[in-house]
Amino acid sequence: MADKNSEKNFKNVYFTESRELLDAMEMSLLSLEKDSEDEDSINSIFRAAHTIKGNSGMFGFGRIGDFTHVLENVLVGARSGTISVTPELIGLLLECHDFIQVLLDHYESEENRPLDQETEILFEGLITRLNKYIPDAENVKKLKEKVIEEIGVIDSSFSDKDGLRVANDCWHISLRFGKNVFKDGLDPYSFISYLGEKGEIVNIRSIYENMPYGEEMKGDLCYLGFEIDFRSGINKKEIEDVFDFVINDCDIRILPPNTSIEDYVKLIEDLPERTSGRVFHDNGKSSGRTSCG
Amino acid sequence: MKLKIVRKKAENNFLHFTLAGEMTVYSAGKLKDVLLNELKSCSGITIDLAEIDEADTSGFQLLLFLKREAANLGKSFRITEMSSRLRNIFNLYKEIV
Repeated sequence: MADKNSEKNFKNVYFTESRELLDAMEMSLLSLEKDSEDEDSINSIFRAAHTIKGNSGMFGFGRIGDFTHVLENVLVGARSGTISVTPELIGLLLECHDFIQVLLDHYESEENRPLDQETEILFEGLITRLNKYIPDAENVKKLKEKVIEEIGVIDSSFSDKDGLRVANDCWHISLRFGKNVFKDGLDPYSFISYLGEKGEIVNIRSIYENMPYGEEMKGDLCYLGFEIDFRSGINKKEIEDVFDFVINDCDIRILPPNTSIEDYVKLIEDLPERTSGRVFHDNGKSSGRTSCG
Repeated sequence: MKLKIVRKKAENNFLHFTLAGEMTVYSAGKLKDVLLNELKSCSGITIDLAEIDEADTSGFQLLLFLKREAANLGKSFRITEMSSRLRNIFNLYKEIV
């Protein structure tokens, strides 16, 4: 078992990342107000809701999960055009955004306290209004699968109720390349694209916390790492083989599918960066680390 | 190393660069020094990378670096065009710039 502190840190990651996702959601909602057909914005809102839902399930914040689940269903409709994006809907989505913030504040300050009556009424009220937009549950399910596939988010719904499990069917691969890989004539691109041929890179995040600022950074040295969620039928040995040529120049950690939270915590503690939130899949493309050009 | 850099002054103390050729480990060290210096001297940089026909992960890293450096200095950094070679790298790493 991970100790209490690790669990607390891990939960902090959840709250921080959820708030980042909410910020991204808000920005996209505001752009949607200007252009109600902007697909990127709808995708980003969907991603945020979807990821918060998955993570909430994992951390036992079921009410946030329940709420974002309904929200997500409406967004599926909006994205596939079965629900039109009216100013009223955008208004409702903004209210939902604010409400998720309320829920996060609540659970962060006092995890085990039930919601107070006023919040419950708000909760039900918003759910009722959201549900009015969803005509047909069966249809939503199908559409959702399609959306998830199209925009490449991880479906991290948690069906495993009995334990904290990172319920996805992906390998998790952490790579930290050595400083000299470029100079040694090796390009991480080749290895990772080769990996992509052996399965599906569901999610990948570049890690560059350890890259120096300003003059200290040397352009020909490598400061990069990657956190990868990889879906494939190949085994651990075969994954390691992909990185065979770079094995002396790269720190590789591999976690099998359906790894327990405790093992993820261990991995995070093992990694060189102090802030390791990014290990955790939040599909953070929406969180604006690098903006669109 | 084959890399051509064209620098143009733009409005509002911005600089616009057009790069053509290689963004690889062979050019990364020098290119980093050049662009970092330029970034310090202006309010923001726009950069056209449509003609980058050879690139590797060091080029990708350099762009992440400049983006972060610009944000850190309170300046703007924006890529206006990207060649398909660079686009492939960004697509693999699922980074948007």
